[in-house]
Amino acid sequence: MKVTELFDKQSIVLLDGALGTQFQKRGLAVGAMPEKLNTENPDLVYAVTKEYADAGSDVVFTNTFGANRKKLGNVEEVDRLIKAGAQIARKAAGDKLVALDIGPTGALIEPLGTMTFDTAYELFKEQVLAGKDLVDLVVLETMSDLYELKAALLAVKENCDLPIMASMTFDENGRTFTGCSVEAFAITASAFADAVGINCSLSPDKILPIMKRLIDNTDLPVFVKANAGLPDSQMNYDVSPEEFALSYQKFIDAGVSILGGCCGTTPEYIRRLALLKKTKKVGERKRIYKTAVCSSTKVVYIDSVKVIGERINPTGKKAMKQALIDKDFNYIATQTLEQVEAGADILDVNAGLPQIDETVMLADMVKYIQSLTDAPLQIDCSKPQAIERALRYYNGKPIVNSVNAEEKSLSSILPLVAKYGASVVGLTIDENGVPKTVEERIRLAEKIIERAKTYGIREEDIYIDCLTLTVSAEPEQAMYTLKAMSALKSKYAVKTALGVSNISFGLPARQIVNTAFLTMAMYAGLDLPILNPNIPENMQAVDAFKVLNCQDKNCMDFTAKYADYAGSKIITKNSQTSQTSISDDKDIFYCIEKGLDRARELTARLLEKNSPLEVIDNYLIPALNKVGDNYEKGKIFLPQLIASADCAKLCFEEVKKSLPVGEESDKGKIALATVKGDVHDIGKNIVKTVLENYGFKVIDLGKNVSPESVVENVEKYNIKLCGLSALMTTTVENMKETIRLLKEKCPYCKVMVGGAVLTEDYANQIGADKYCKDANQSAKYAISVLCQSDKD
Amino acid sequence: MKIDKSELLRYLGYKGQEYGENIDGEIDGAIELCLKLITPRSVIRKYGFDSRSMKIKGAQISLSGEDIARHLSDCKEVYFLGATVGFEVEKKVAELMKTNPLKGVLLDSASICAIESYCDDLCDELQASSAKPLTWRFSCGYGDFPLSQQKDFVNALELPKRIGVFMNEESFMLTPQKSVTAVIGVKESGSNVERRCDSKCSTCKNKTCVYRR
Repeated sequence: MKVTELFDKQSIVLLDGALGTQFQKRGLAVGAMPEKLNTENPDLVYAVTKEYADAGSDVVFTNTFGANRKKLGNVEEVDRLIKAGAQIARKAAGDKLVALDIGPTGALIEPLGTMTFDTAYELFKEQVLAGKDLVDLVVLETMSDLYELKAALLAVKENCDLPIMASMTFDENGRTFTGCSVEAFAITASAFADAVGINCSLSPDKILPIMKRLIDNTDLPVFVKANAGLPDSQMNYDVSPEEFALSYQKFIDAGVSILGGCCGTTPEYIRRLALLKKTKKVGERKRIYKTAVCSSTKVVYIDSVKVIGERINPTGKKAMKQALIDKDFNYIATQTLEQVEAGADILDVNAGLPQIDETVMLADMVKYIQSLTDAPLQIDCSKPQAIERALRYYNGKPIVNSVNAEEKSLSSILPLVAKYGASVVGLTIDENGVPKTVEERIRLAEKIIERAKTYGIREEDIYIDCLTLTVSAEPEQAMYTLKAMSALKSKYAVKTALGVSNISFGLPARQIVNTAFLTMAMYAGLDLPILNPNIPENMQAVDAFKVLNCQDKNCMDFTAKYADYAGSKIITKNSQTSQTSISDDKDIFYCIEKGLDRARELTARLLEKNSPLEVIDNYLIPALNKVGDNYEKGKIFLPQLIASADCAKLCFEEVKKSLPVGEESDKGKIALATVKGDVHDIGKNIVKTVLENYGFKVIDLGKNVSPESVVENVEKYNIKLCGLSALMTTTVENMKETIRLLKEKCPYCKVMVGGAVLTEDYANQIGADKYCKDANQSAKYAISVLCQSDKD
Repeated sequence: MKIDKSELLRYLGYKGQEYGENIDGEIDGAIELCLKLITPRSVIRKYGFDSRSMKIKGAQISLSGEDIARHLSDCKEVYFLGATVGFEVEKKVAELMKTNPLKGVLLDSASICAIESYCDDLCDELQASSAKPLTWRFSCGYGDFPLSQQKDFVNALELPKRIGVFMNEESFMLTPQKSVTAVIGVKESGSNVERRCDSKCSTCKNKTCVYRR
């Protein structure tokens, strides 16, 4: 068998069956690592592998599934077990092919777990280097986290020239345990692998519908390694070799050419599959969905108008600029969630500011934003180095915005787009500037398309941007842009993108022109408008267009969204008026206590007669203190405390509006972190909510934060109070170390601690200044640390 | 599987306070959302067991601690259980803690109820299919049964591969957070073995815990 035959999509190729269950049957202890047999009992490994080769497997896997440093402790052992495993497989294989088998690391990558993407990459790299010279190909299998699979794919691609087969393991709903959909897997992994597949977890019949979804989304050869059904509590599997082979006929009919077995299968299963080889012909298959981008959990098909939200971009946005300089990820979080809520399908991410290191920041933003939302991202940057770093850390298939027709841009950016399997926005501009005619735009687009193809980038993955120019300056250009777009759409399979709002620069009532241009552009073939989704008119134009263009079938989405539409008047909580005879001061106490939104309106009324600081000191803080006292006395419980705090937040926002620009109402900065090794951060987040609503500025360092990082931030922001949380006895050790380092480097900073296993004594022992048993106590302590000194 | 409102309230430190309809409605909403988001998965394996050496047969595992020894006294077989309600619900909690902390806290509590109820259901099913009485489920961290033993459950049950439950090597924490491992003993005799976990608190060393019953 030749490797080319393996991937020709016509020949039926047989892989092997289960190794682990075979070893267990022959005495391997429960929970022991099968890979150790490569040196401890090589004869057993040889015997099982040989049985598969004899049964008809064209490719046998090495017994190296979990042979990584995370599990084995050191790289020498990795090297030893993989080399031994590869040699055994080679000997047993005869003239068959040998695949280096690599499974998941067994640890979770951030943000779900604590391992970094780079660590995962290193672990896989070690495995590849150990085995690459002894095998014919590499198999990455039983993956359940797309991010981890991506680290593995990169580790193989960048460290050897061997072909790669990649498979993930899915639940019946077509998602992995971490939520990755089979479509997202197909779309992302196809850029790196030579074949994609599904293995483990399920019986053949249950995998079949998922396999069809995989085939709908890839051009690559596909493979299957199903379990022999489900095991009972004594590890007996319920699908017989006959039933297994019968089910596999349907895979062959569906176009699956590479077949094998996973847990519970034996050489007998492979023998049954070998019989199919003689009688069956691989069915025809057709990829249905051709243009898509995705995160690991969400696929966006560009088969109708899809909106790219433009808000995460400092250009012309003062608050975002400041947020980037301060690394204020809270602000970025708000922008992210608001745009998705408003209906953005994809989010543009731009970190272009001269004051900051774009290469570092862009990737950090990508990592952060993808942990918050499942919307796919558009990496908005023109610097190859920054683009590559962001592409590397992106979990899924993103868009790169953008390449243009200049030679320098084409030759530096297209290879990155190809390597990481992204889509790319192509700007019709070159060293001569923005073209002035329809024909010139088309010519530049064609240049981009041709060049992209030489790198293996498909037309469907190119999104041409014919450039929006300001209509008040160059009146005829608007129509040229649209005409060029229409012409390109009719000639090529490309999609189109366009920023909209530039059109109206310099005009009054800009939104009127923007909306009209947006509608015209969609009619002319615009697939991806880049706009601010928080402006209702923008989304309304898109929603209406989808109705008129039959993209919104039976007007379902439109009806659902606008059933209660009240005209162009925008209703906010502020404009709701209520008549009440209770005096304002009494009422605001009541509203905050009960967590009623009306507190905001009452705050506004109080601000008519009182200064902002009077409102804070005489109303809001006393109200919160009363809530805190009630909580302490057990008169209210946690949800009520949080509801009150949330309500107070609205009041503080109202107060902020009437403060002179530049004046801050915050009472001081507090850093909060869940310590290293700990990912349970609900307690810390409750504390954050309460502190913020007392008017403190909280620098949230997140979870799994190293002692060094806590210190770095405390120094950077000159923090006087730091709160640490840890859930378990095992992570309190890291809390202790964090406190030690803080006391050493930042003695001016007080440390308060909390968490399930902590007690007052325990907190004292590890050197904390204060043990806070709940959020309320931390607020009290914060006031005593940060506010008392002002009043003394 | 059910999410019991009074259980949910208990996890929030509820001690009979009066609360308004707004909170009540939020709790109902959280329960509904939780049931929608969870993906319960489990793996159960039966092993031979020697209660004198505390060794699991066919494995290189022995259980340590006096409390587990008492719990499994005269058991010749044990079940290992691993269960989770999945990642989806905790991703939503994380998101809600940013946008609406009240909803986030309630959903978190609801998901604790969900995993507990799921494990109770699994144990009930196991008992229904077993001729002999079973002990209640005992997890690492109960009494002096060490947290570090978590590793043996994760390896024996192949939790990452089978149900997507991962363990942090240093802290022995499980991810998804709402996941459970436990051992259940098969008693040779005794008809009224206490099987419900209502008495778990009695073995716990944390005498000041706010959730203690």
